[in-house]
Amino acid sequence: MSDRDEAFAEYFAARSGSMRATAYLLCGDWHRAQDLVQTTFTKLYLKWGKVQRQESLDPYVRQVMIRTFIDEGRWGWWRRERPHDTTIDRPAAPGAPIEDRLVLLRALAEVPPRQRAVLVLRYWQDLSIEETAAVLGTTTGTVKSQAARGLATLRAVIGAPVPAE
Amino acid sequence: MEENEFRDALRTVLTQSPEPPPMESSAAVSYGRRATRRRTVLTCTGAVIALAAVTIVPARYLATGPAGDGDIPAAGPATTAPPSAHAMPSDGVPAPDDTKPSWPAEASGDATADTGPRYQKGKKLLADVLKVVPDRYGTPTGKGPDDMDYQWHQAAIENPEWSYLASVTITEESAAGQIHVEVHEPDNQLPAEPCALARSFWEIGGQCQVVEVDGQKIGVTTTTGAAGLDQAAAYRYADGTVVFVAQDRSSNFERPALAEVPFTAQQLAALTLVKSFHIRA
Repeated sequence: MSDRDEAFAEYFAARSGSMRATAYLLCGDWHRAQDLVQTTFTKLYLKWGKVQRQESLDPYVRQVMIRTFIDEGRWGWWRRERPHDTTIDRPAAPGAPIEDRLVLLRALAEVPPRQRAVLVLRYWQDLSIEETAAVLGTTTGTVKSQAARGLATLRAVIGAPVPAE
Repeated sequence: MEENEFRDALRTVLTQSPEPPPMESSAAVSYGRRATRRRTVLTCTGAVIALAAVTIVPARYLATGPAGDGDIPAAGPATTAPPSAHAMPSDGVPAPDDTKPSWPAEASGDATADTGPRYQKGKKLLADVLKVVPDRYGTPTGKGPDDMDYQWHQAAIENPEWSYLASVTITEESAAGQIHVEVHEPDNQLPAEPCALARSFWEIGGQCQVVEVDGQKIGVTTTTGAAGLDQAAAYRYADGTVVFVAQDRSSNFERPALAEVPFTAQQLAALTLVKSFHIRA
């Protein structure tokens, strides 16, 4: 493996887990989260010669991943899929209500992709409004409005009454 | 749900969601190398690496496809599988022995032509791009470090149209930048609005303005360079053909970046209207 590939592999090993967690919140599914991460890092590999000396790669990689996710023209199937309530190989943490976790993931899936990205960047990545705007290539005003709309959608979905049987 | 409540809920979701085993670095490197070769013209050498990626090729593009087409996609096994190449386990979490990342939906139809009319269109596009490079720049040929070509062209199946990409490394003394021209045939699913179109090029994003050239509206988007490109212009012809022209002060090679981009925004916009870039399907 060349020095370049070794450096790339080292960065991948160090950061892919974190990126995958963010992707999981975006996609609601580990399988698709891994696909998104793989696509992102493939794009990074193509630019590795130019970007590897940046002070911090994380912001660049995060930007690529978010924009890839939002590009619904090529990833329209993200929207057709919803997190499903199935058994899992590994047990959840003790005391963890699976239903609550799935409720939130399902509610997130109802939020349009760009608003969902804003929510994940602001409340999972804890980016500032300005940093979020830079990632998305938009204005701070748009970030604020999309965050507000995203939270409103979550409230509406989570708070919706369960239909009588 | 309030902001802090949502923040806590997100953390709960992650800490309580059973996570698959870590992704493999070696697989990531393999996919990266494969992608590099997809964007690089492969010369006849003994160092061709078999492309084992699972690539989805629409049946009509196989060798037994439309008569007279002649294009032979350099792709992997044809399949009509869904975007993710391997079956989804019923529990939604990849099993420990099934965690190799699959070639994602980007590979749907992402076959490249290595011969035939479409290959020739890509080759001609490269020749036409070289004609618009300002005289003050050099345009090296051959390969640089990491076995990467200074110039390359590609004809690839998108979804569902064909696209043609030509990239040229331009030099000024020791510095190097790049110019890219990418053309999408009609039937593409790219945005119609000029700025949405420009910002969609390689997910460049950026701040966009609409520039008018010869009565035509062209989107020109400018970034800080963080996305790997400095500026891109995009134009959609009435027949649906889309032409992207992008410039980058830096290159894929270990050389200083150009002091400035080779074209002004107005010039870049005008390049989208170069007749020879309007590739007919």
